[in-house]
Amino acid sequence: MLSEKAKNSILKLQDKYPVKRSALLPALHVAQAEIGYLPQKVQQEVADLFDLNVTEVHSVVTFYDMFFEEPTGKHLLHVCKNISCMLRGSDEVIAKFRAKLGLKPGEKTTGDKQFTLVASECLAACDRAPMMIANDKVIGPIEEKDIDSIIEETKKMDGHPCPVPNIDIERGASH
Amino acid sequence: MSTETKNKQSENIKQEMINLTIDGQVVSTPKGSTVYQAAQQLGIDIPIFCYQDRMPALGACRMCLVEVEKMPKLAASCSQGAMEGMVVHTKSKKAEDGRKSIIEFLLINHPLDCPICDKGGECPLQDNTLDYGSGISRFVEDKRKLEKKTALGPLLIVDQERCIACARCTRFGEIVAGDDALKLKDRGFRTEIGTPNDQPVESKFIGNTIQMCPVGALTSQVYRFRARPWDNDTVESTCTLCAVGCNMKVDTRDNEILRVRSVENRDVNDIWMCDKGFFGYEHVNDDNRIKTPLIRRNGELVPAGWEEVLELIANKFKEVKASPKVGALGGSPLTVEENYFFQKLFREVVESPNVDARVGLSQQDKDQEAIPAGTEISLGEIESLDNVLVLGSDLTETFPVIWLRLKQGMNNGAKVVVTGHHQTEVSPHSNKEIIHAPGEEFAVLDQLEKEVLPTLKGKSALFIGEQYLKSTSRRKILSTLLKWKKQNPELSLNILEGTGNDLGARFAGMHPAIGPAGSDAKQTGLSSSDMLIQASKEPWDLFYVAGANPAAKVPAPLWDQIREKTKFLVVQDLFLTKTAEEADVVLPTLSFIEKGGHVINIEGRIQEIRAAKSAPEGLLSDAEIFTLIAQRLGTTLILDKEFSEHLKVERLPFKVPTQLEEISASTQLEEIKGEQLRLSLSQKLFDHGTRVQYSPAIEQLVKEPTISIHPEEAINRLLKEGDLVVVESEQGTLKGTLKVTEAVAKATVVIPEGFPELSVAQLGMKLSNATAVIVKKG
Ligand code: SF4
Ligand code: SF4
Ligand code: FES
Ligand code: FES
Repeated sequence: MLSEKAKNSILKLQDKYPVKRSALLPALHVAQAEIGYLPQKVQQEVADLFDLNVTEVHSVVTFYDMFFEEPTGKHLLHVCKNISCMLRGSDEVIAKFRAKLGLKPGEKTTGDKQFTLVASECLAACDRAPMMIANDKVIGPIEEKDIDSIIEETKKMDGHPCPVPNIDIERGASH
Repeated sequence: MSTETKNKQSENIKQEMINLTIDGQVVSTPKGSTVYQAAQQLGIDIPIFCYQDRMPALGACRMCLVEVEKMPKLAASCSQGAMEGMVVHTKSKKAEDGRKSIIEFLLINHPLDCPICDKGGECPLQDNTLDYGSGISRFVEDKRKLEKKTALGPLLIVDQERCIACARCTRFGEIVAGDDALKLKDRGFRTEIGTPNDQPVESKFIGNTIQMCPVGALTSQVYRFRARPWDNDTVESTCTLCAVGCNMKVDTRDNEILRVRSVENRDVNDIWMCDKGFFGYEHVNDDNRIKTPLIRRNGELVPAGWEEVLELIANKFKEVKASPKVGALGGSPLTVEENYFFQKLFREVVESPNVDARVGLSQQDKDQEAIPAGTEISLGEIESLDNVLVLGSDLTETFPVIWLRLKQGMNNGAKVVVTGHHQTEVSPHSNKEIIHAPGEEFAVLDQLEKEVLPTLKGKSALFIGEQYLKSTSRRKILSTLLKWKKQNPELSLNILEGTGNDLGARFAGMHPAIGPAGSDAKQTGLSSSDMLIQASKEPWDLFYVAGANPAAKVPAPLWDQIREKTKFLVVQDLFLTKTAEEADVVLPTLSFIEKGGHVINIEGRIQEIRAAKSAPEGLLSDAEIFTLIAQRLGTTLILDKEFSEHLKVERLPFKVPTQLEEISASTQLEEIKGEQLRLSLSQKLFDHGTRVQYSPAIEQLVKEPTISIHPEEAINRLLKEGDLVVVESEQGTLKGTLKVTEAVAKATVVIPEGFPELSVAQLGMKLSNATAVIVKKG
């Protein structure tokens, strides 16, 4: 369930756009920052706040790699798998991460709930391919030998509430 | 958009033609057309997948690639605007190679399981591959594996592997139906089609997506694995499951109905139908249909031969000839011709004026009714309206495809104002909505007169529905609307009421005050409720019921009295309804798919129904039964010439008087006292009427009927959602489950009709909206 605070913040966000539906993405970030992920019930709540059908909200949630329908681990590793990164070896990088984290096929989150690994769509830093974002830190080009230290460094971070940093529920805006 | 600007635009379009060359031929096309449209003008075939001409182009699939000189890349012709001097090649090597590549890409992950795919034989992907593909595959890798049979509710089944992500189905939900039923999920090559967590799809129109899907990704559970299209026999006919009268084709194989598809008619349903029309035929195949005549012997209904029952009925008719205590009820599922015979049999052979097709419908006398159901405009005109006022009509539940036409009207710029006793599926799309308690209609009309009427510009229409029509103020309300029409001649009046062939039954003369073709009845008979009320009080000689179920439409104790006092009850139907169970003689008959004739839709349009399969052995149509009985009494029933002439026009004229005289008998609204609420009767597309009940697929779409009130009213009465409550009127009580929802107006209780398990008839005969009732804990 979303708190009144989060709901108000979403309503405020809607006021910022000529069409309130345009506030859906930031609103979903607000909801995810609070709950940690976006289960069906929360998607429904957001849909209700926008007078949208939940099918539409769900379509948006599943489209973006930064929304999660299931709880994630403490730390988020988004490794880009799109064309530029793929040509520069992201498949190997992803495989290495999976091996190091001990992820079994089909698993996204480690058993100890420390890490969630997402093979992500283009993260808009193709010049640093192959690249990744660890929580909110952009890393790249990644070399295979760096992988251990990336994992260790990430462990020292606070973890993610959401990959969009500093979401301010009060003001209903990010950054 | 106002008409002025619209007209201007269409003038501009008329003036501004542009010329381009396609495959060496010069074509002149209105500015704003696409290359695809221009090619169509020349009869040049360009393959498509995502483009569907009832929706704006999307340009998602690239199947329609063509070469345009001076453009660096191939262009998607469905979305590429035609421009002056353009030179287009649809058959150049470059264009052909481009399309070949698109097919190759699409087939990379397509399972090519045509041998087990219902679409096989009528599949655009098969056809385009044959016509434009390379014929061989270079793909040696593994194809992706996805869910192949996800059922999204009882009608639709999705094969994710076959989906080519053209977005036709999702855009249909967004643009045409407005229900957002299906969505694309995830992205890129992982894109799938469906609903969150594969929950059942919420739509009344999903059959259209099955028809539109260019591959076998969306198929029907009912038709699944039943036939190859080339094995089917197809007959075009008309859906009679509501009064829209969608044009349809029925596919049968070995004399069994396998599916129904829509047939394009721009004036009526365009290319659409609703799921009741697509899947509601199933009752025709149901094994519970009555198979022989039944006769009551020693208190039991037992099978009997036609000879015996017809003789018995004929003899009864002789006995009761000219008795005032004889009545003929029903006719809505019958054709115009059959209704004509029905009333003729009673008026002329039995000599009884008591004929009425309206059983359980509002039965105002002609004065109260003032103007009968019908529409001034044709349904096709809805798409070009500028303003629409929907007053008290739940469109998607009563005239589903009218909503699709109106939604297209909105896409073209129409503004829609909605009023009513509760929100509907149209509400979220409306530009303005007034939700109000029954009885407050005049205040609302006043408000509209001040705020909305002066703003109407261009072609405007009033759609008035049952919430306002089933009211004791009906005449006065209509008289107000006529006043509006006087002020604004571009405002049309459209009265949306009734179902099936109600208009046809009336036109045939199955009305106590009206004879065939709108003539005055020679002798005015009793209305069906007056007949039933009389029969509950004093002995009654005979009721003949065809295609109606009066037992479900009157309070149970009253029905018991009626049955007890009725000496002879004949019921003619497909199924053993509650009335049939208690009849003396039951005659099985034919469904609308097994017989021919005419039906009349809400626009007064006369359309044909045709037999798509032969009659089950030993069954006769209603018309045949009436004829055989009349024969035994020495009369030959024929359709008289003059009447059949009337059936030759396209649409019956809808006569709107310029004004209505005040009549003194106009009823006052009863006061509400203390705890009372006002009743509003609602309708559901998927109710528990006989035909839905025996159509297994759509039967699963029926939602449990509830008694709905506003949260404030619930709090005042210490009631909560799910409580068992009792509704009390002066005439009776009704028990049911409470739903608490802000969708309903305050001071209002909404109860659906058409559910035997929550039979609103228990609250009394001649119910109307705004009747005062009490809702309390049960
Ligand atoms: S299911 Fe059919 S209509 Fe829908 S996107 Fe896929 S291919 Fe297109
Ligand atoms: S809208 Fe009415 S006529 Fe059309 S398919 Fe549905 S039930 Fe049949
Ligand atoms: S493809 Fe990896 S960042 Fe753009
Ligand atoms: S038909 Fe033109 S892009 Fe799909």
